[in-house]
Amino acid sequence: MKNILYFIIGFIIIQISNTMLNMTSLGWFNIKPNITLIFICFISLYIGSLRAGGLGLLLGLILDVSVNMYAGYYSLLFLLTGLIIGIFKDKIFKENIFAPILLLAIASFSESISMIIISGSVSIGLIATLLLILKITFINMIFAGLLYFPISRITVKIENLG
Amino acid sequence: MASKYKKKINYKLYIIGSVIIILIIIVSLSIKNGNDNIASKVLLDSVSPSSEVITSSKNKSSGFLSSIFKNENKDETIKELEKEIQDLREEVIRNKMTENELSELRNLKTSLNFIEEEFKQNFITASIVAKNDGNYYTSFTISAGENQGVQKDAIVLTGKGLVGKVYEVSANYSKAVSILDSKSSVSFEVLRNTEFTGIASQNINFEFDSTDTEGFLKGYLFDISYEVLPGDVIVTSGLGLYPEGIQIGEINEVIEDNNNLLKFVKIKPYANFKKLDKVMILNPRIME
Repeated sequence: MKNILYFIIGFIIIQISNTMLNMTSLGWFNIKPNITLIFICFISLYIGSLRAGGLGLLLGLILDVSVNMYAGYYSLLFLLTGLIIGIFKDKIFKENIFAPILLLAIASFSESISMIIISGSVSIGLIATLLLILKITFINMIFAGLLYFPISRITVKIENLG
Repeated sequence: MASKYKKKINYKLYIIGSVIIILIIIVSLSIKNGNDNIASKVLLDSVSPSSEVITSSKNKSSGFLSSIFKNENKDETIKELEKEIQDLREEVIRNKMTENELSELRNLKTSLNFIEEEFKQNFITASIVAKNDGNYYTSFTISAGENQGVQKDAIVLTGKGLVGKVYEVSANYSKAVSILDSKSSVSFEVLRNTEFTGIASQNINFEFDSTDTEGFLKGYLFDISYEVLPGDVIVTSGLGLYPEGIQIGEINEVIEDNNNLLKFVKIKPYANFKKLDKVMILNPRIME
C-alpha cells in the first residue's frame, strides 16, 4: 500500500513535469530541474535501498516510455539512484538538509555525465558542456532545498500509516 | 538460520544484478537501433492518454484565465501580427520558389530524362501531449500515431518552420526529437539564391567563435564561394526525404574554413521550441 502511494505521487510528478513544467518558460538559466530525481533521492533516504530501487525502476520506466529518447535510461538511472542513496537510510542525520542535498548533487552530476555519454555528442563544446552540468546541478540543488522538507514530511506520514 | 538469510540476500542481489544488466542491454540497443519495439509502443499508448488529458485541461484553463484578464486585446493583436509576419514570410518563399522553378522548368523542357515526382503533401495535424524539455535534448510526444498515418522519420512543423523528426510511432501516439538534437541531417538552400545549398546537422564537428551556441543549428555550405550573409533565410532544398521550401531558420553567423574549403553557418531556427502546442506532421516521401 505504501509503495503504491509513492508510485502514485511519483507518477503525478512525472505527469506534471511532462505536461506543465516542461511546457513553460520556467527555469533559471533556461535549465529545468529534475523533480523526479529529487523525489527518488529523498524518499530513498526514508524507505531504504530495495524499495527505493524498485520504485525508481517503475517510475523510470514511465518516464522512458512517455517522452524519453533512450529506452531504459531513466529506469536504470533511478534504479541505481534508489539502490545507492537508500544505503544511507540509517547513516545520515535526516534533519540536517546538507547531507541529502549533497547526495542529490552527486546523483544530478552523475545523471548529467551519463546523459552526455549516451547522447554521444558535446555539440556545444567542452567548456559549455561543463558549465551546463554545473548549472543543472546547481538548479537541482536549489529545488532540492525547497522540496526536501515537504517530501520528508509526506514520506514520514506515509511510513507511519501502519 | 544465518545461511538461509545469506541465501535470501544472494537471491536479491542476483535479481538486482540481472535487472541492471538487462537495462544496460536495452539502453545500448535503444542508442543503436532506436525504440522501435512492440513493448515500447504499447506502453506509450497506455501512458500518453493521461498526459493528453492534463495538457488539454491545462490549455483550456489557460485560455479561460487569459479571457478573464484584460489583456485579451493585446494578445489578439500580437497573434494577428505574428500570423501576418508568418503569412508574408510564406508568400516570399512561395514567390521565390515559383520564380526559381519556372526558370528550372524552362531548362528542363529540353531534357527527355525528366522524371516527374509524385509527392503528395499529406499533412497530419496533432497536438503536443507531453514534452521533455530536457537540459540535454528536447523531445515531445504527439497525439497522432500509425492509425492517423504517421510514419517513422516524418518531419514535424509548426507554422513558423521545421521543428523536428519523428523517431518512434505507436498506434495513437508518436515521439519526436527537435532538429537541434536530431543526429540526422537536413539539406537546405538559401532562399535568396537557391543555388547556395548545404547540409544542416548537429553532428558537424566545428566550433563557432561565439560561446552562445545553445538553441542554434550548425550547417555547412557545399562551396566556399557561396556568398551568404547573416540574416539569409534557410529553407529545405528538396534533396532527400523532405520536400522543398520548408522554412528552417535564418543564418546567424558565417565562418569560412579554408583548410577544408567549406563555409560553416550557424542557423537560428524559426520554430519556438519553448511554445509548442499544435504541430503538423509531414511523412517522408517514398524513394523508389
